[in-house]
Formats: sequence, structure tokens, C-alpha cells
Amino acid sequence: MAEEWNTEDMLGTYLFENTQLLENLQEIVLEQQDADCFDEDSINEIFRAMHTIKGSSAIMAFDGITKTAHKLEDIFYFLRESHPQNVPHMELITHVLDVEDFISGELNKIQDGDKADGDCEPLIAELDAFLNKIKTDQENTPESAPQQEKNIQINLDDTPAGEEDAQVKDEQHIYIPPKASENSHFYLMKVTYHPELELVNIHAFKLVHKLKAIAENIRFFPQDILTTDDSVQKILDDGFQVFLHTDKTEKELRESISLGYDIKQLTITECTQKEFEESLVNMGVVVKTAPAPGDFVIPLKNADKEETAVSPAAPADAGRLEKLVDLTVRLECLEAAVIQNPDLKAEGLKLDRFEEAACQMSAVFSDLKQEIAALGGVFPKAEKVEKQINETLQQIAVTAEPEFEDEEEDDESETLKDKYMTFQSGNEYFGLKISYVTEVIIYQEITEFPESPDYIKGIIHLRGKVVPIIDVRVRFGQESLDCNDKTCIIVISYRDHMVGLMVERIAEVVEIPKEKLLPPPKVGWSDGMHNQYVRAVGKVGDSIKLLIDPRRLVSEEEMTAMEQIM
Amino acid sequence: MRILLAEDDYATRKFMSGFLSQYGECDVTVDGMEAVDAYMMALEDEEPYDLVCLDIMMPVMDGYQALAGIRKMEKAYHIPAKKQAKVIMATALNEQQNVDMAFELGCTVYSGKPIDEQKFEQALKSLGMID
Repeated sequence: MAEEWNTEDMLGTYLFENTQLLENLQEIVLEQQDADCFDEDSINEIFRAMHTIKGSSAIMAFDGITKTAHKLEDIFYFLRESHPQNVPHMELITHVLDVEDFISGELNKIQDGDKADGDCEPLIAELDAFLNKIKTDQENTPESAPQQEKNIQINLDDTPAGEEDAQVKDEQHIYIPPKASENSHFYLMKVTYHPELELVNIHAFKLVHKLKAIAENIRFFPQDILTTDDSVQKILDDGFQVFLHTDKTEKELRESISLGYDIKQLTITECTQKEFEESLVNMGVVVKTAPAPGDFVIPLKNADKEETAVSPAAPADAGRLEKLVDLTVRLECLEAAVIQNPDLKAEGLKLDRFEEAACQMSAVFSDLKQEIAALGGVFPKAEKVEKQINETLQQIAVTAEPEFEDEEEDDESETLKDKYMTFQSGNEYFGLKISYVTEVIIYQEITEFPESPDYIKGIIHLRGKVVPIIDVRVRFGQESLDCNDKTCIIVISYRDHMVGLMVERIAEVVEIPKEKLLPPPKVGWSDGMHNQYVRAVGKVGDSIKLLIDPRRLVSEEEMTAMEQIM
Repeated sequence: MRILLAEDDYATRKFMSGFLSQYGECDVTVDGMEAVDAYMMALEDEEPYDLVCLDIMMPVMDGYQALAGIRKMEKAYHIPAKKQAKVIMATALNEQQNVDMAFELGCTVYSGKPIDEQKFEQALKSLGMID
């Protein structure tokens, strides 16, 4: 049921980490506000921060934050790549702080449990205008003298031979895929998802995540499935392509991709290593692998790929994002399992949305709980409900009290049969069937509580339970005696009630066979009161023990009333 | 050719140093920090390394950090691009972003593990390091 999820962790992590990022951002801005412009490291850091916030906010579906972060990310991407001169620094600082304000505000709302409903449009329009301005400014001033000088300086530092070297540098990026073993298989996989499926890029990510466990090498297209929505349409239109190098057989591969409700079609084609690598190059996924002699080296394809955040810290971010995505996907699958469960549908539960299903299930359990409580039972875990109902019914059947001659009423084992615990109260000795006795405890502090019948001395706490203590003397119409060191409390249990009998003295356990039982005296006590409690009289040697029926000691109504007070 | 190897796993280190030794004199370090120190020493002795082979997952300083360190040092010493060491990163990490990051930081060759010796040799040839 919905209450049992702890979404706190996911949301908590999101809020904590993004708040941290914003704080760092603020620090950078404060440090650099008096400078002429942001230095390279700061530009990178701000870019990365916005990139991360954008990504995680997209997962959490906080659109305002996502859009705003994206816009600022675009600005810093431009700064990073194009190194424009004369960027209006103060204006930029203001924009960064505005974005930081807006996002913090939204995060606070989310933390308080409100909706992140801030209107980001005005801020985005501002950022847009700023970005356009600095872009056109840069285009208009490429020939300015200061810039020229700077260029030359850079050349001197890096490459004395100028352009030629730069090109050589660019071209020399070679990727060598992991070595294939004898067991290596190369597969081209194409996955088609159901057209109505939402967030297919997440499902695609889920698949990749699963395959990574068995892959020597894995590539997929479209590549950026986490941070852009464009991939969703591409995947829906052309399918999701995965290039896999693994040592698993096709059978094992299919088994490890347990086809869920999301995948419409999965085609797996085995191919040679060469074909595998050629497809990679054709796709522009990766640079051509170490070429054979005479081959050309193809430069790294950067042009149309959106640059992902690049810095030593990136992998850690990716890990967290991946974890969040993985959790989302797993939860989605669980939801789907409930909503699509045919048995639940057959029960007439309306299951269009998971939350509704959860509420209805809750209501059903709640009704059941009430029913059982009304029957006097205690609601245990769901699986034991039926057993509990049966037991409760049995107990109810026992309530009809037959005469004492009917021995069937007490269900006791052979060893306990006919054994009675005896105790003294006043001048009389009483006996109590031992099967009722849970324990005997030395007198302990009894807490009085008002509004109780006068024979109830008070209550004690026994291992977390509240047990009423009956003063036996008072119950039998005698005066209460002060407690002394011989006073004991016999704790008896019947029908889920627990009661303590405060007695003056405990005596031994005796065995009284049925033949020795006699019906209780009709007369003998001044008020005849405790005839009711005494169900029989037992002869033990020369003495007489009055055998008490605990069920008559406290009537059912009084017991319930007492328990309600407690 | 002078080669510098940084690899923290003993078995891999043994294999790599044996494999690389056929191409030139191979010095061995066990983590990123040592590698950067070794590179600096070589620069100061005016016997710089031509080829640096870095593992990525290493203690103290990882491959990316070592690479960044080496490239920064080369800039500080004003080493021209042609003379800068070729860096090979060999690692079991195979994600696109890891590869991209390595190239961004100035890596020349990125090889997944297990290392494909044939392709490796071809790469060295195409870089003009061996013939």
C-alpha cells in the first residue's frame, strides 16, 4: 500500500544534493563578483551544477526548475565553448543569483510539501535575451585588437607550429574496445516499445542498466537518454538500438532481459566483431577503433552531440542520477504489476490509478479490522485473519455457560486436569483451576485508578500489559486486609482477559478428582453473594476448598467496561 | 622509446610491463600520484616519457587526475603539442562518458580491458611511435 513506500529517501536526496549545489554556486559567485569575468574553473563548475540540477529535476518532474537550470546551463555552455570577451559581468552575476533564488525558492516549497509552482517564464525570457545578446556581441567583434593579442598568446603557449599541430592533436583519438575472447558474442539489438508508453527513455535506460551487468562493451543509440526529451521521440519512432559485446549466449541474453510489459518487440541479431565495430563507427557512436595499417584515423565526432558534463566529478553525479532513475523504474514496474493484476480486477477494485487501488485496498482492510474487533478479536497480520476469526468464533461459542457438571467446557490437557491452585482469603481456602493461572507474582505496587468497582484494587503493569487487580476479600464481601509479605497476586487469564487476584496467602497445588467435587453450598454466607463465584466445592483430605470460576469473578460486561476505562 | 606505466593491480601490472617492454624502456608506478611525480622527474632530467599508460581506477589519485596533472605540467613547461607524451588509458570502464572525459582531458588512446594486443600495436603504429 502506498503508505509503505518511503519516497522520502529519493526526494530527500534530491533536495539535499541540489541545495548543496546551489550553496556552492552562491559561494563561487560571491568570490568572483569583483573580478572582470568568471574564470574557466568557475564557468565549468557553474555549468556542471546546472547540468546536474537540470537532470535530477527532470527525473523528479519539477519542470520549472528543469527549464531554468537548462537555460543557465546553455549560457555557461556558450561561455565555456566560445570564450566570448567583454561579457557584462555584473549582469551575468545578477542572472546567476536570480536563478539560484528561484530554484532555492522552489526547493523550499517542495520541502514544505507544497507544489513547485513558481513561474519560471519571466526569468527564462531574461536569460534568453542575455544569451542572445552575448552571442551577437561576440559575432560583431571578432577582429578587435585585444582579442587578437590574446589569440597569439595562446598559440605561443600551446603550439608553436600553430594550426597544423592542433589538427594533429584533434585527430589522434583512438578507442580500442575490450579484447574479444573465444566466448565473445556480438549482438545488435533493436527494441521497440509500446507507442502509448510514457518515459520510454527511462525504460531504455533500465534495459541498458540491466545489460551492463553482463556486457563487456555496450553502446546504444540514441546516446543521451537521460537528460533530453528528444530521445523519447527517437526511440518511439526508430526503436532503441543496443550494441552489445558479451560472452553470454543469445539464450542467456534473452533470459536476462525479462521482457516486461513495456517492450513490444525485441530483435537480437548476432554479428561478427568486425561488423559490430563497423556499425559503431557508422552510427558515429565512437571513434574508429585502432585502425589496421593504411587506415585513416577518423577524428572524434563532437559536432551534433550534446556535451555531457565533463570533469573528474561527473561519474559520481551519474551514479546518483542512475540510482534515482533505477528506483523510479522499479517502482513503476511494481505499480504496473498491481494495476494490471487480473485477480484484483476480478474483485471489482477500480484500478485505473495506483493511488486509487491503494485506497480501496486500505478500505477493505479497515472494514475487516472493524468486524473482527466487534467480535472481540485482536487484528493480527493479514494472513492470519481467517485463523483468528475461527478462534474468536470458538470463544464465543464457549460463552454460553453450562452447569459445572458439564466438563467439556474447559478444554484442558491431561496433565493439568483436576489440578487446582489453592489460596487463602480470610478463613476460607479457595481453589482455582490451574489452567487459568498464568503466573503468580509477589505483591507489587498497585496503581489505583478511580471509577473502578470497589473490588478492583487497582492496576499493575505486567510486561507491557495493564492488568486489573481484584481484591478477593472485597469481592467476597469481606473487608480488605492490608498487604503483607505473604500477599501475592495470582495472574489468571481467560478469554483474552488478564486479571490479577490479590490474595493473602498462596497454598499448594492440589489435585481434586471429579468424584470429590460437590456442588456449591446454597447457603452459608451472610449475603449469599459468593455463591455465584464458587462453582464447586472440593474435598481435599479433611479440608474443603471452594473452587472459583474466574469467569464469574468478573462478569463479561464489567470486564469490557473496565478494559475500556483502562 | 620511454614508457611510463601506472597500474595498481599487481597481476595487471606484471602483464602490462611485460607487454610494454617490447616497445621500449618501461618504468612502473602503482598509483596516479607516483606517475605524476615520475613524469615530473623525467621532465626535469630532460628525458621525458614518450608514452604514458594509465589505469583509471587507482588509489590516491585516479587516472583522470593523473592525466590532468601531466597535461598541466606539460603546459607549465611549455612543451609543444608534438612533443607531448601520448597517453593511453586502459581500463575496464567502458561507458561513453568515461571515454569522452578521457579524451577531453587529453588522452590519446582509450582501451577497454582486457587489452587487445593486436589493436594496441596497430594504434601505436598509427601514432608513429613504432614502425
